Amino acid sequence: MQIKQADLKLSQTHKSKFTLVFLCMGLICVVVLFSIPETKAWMNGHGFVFTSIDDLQKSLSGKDGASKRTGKAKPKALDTALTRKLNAAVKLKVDSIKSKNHFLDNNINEQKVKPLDAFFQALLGMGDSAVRIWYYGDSQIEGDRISQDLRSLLQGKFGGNGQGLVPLSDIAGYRNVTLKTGPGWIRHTVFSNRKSSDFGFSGVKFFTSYQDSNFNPYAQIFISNNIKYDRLYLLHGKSNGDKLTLTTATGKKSFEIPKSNMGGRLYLGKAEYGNVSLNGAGGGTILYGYMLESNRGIQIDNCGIRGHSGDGLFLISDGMLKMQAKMLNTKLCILHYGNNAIPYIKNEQVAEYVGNELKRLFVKFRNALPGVSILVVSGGDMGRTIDGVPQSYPYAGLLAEKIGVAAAEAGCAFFDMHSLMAKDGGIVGWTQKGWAGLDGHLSPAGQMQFAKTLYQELMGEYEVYQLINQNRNQ
Amino acid sequence: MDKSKIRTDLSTLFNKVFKCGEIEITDTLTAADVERWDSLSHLTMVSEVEKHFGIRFKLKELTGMKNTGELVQLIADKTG
Repeated sequence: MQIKQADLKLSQTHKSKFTLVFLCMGLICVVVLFSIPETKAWMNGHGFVFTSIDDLQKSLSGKDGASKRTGKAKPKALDTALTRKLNAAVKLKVDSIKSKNHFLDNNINEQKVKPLDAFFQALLGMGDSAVRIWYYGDSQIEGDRISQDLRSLLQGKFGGNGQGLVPLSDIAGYRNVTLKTGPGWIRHTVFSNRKSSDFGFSGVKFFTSYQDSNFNPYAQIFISNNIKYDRLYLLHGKSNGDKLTLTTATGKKSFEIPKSNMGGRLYLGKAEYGNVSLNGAGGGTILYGYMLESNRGIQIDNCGIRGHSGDGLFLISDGMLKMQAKMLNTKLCILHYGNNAIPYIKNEQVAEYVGNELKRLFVKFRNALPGVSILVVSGGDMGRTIDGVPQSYPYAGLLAEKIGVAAAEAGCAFFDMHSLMAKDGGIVGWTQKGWAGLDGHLSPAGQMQFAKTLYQELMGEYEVYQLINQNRNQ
Repeated sequence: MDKSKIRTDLSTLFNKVFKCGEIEITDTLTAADVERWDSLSHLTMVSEVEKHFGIRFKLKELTGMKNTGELVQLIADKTG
């Protein structure tokens, strides 16, 4: 009897061990299965969201370096469907590049096209021409902040020089130009002057308070030698054929701004430095700004307006956006908004409200500019001091997530600036490194840090585009 | 709370948030009539209104509001 009981105990121990081993093997199988990208993608595509333990812990604790997120992944199943057709060597390369891209999401949209394809196609076929980027945002980018670093990186790779569009005057200061306007010029923006019209793509326009062709208002730009550019243009809106005099160190030149309802770009001459003055255009012409350009490589126009949420861009007519994008060969629009809302997000519903508001804007640009890629950049992280301790606002991450969802639904690419900042401890970490202020604004070093990552991930996606294209043509 | 007092207080808050100078709060006043009143400054305004009057709005109330008259009515209802 004792022997039988011992046998039974032994057999039960064996059974338990066997069950444990079986369970472990099952667990290993599941982990291996989920680590295969296709499986993860298929599961995501069928409504199952695979989250790593690390991600799961982060989303549950809300401590992803900054603030709360729901941790919901965006579907990427169609991406896998495209890469499945690639040969093994190309697929390996694509997977290797993709694994380094952590913040840029180039989701395939409902037209089965990746949002950045139009931009990449233009880069591929650029030759000696110019490809233009419009970079929109609020005070985070005003005065050519961030865009100047992205421009220098992209021009380093694809050629080109210049600073793009520079307004006649601005409340923000610039590194390499100083702006001045005399009495008579009035500045309107889509943020501060919502009853105004005839805005150009930048959302800022200049017109004279008194309209008479003999009225000669004055504007001046000081251009530092630090800017290398080839050609000076004037971007204008509707015009009655006003006269204009350009005064530079090399002399005076007279121009007539061609009569037009929609406007155009007037060539003023080769690059000039020092003080460059404009007199005239007082008979009702609308001016948008100087353009310091080259006719090749990458051109980036900074369209930053302090305090702006993006809503005001609805005041720019689709016709104007189309016309100017075609004239200037604009192939990428970057919409970088969200920071101004962060302190006011009190729950998920409000974050969703802001996401939905921004989605309307993304859809407007997507519909108005069918041959132009749209890249949405979320707001970053932002903080304040509580009891002497600097802390992130609790819903900055959630807002970034909602903006990401809005971008995907609108068929736009998305760059998650909040996650980028969270990687280095959120706004608290970035302030400690000297990369940002607690209010979320990036320092010059932070701007370069951000621009470099955006550039690297854009170029990673570009390499993927090239690999897929080559594979198709083989 | 008395509606005329609400309107006076709102005028001060609007000036603070939208930096629009003195503004007359009428029932038909909408975002389109006030420069700088966009979707995000709307959130700022709501936050200031909640703080000032010691009330909380539901999201449905915020998105359903058509003009300042409805905002005044909501505040009056909530403050009793």
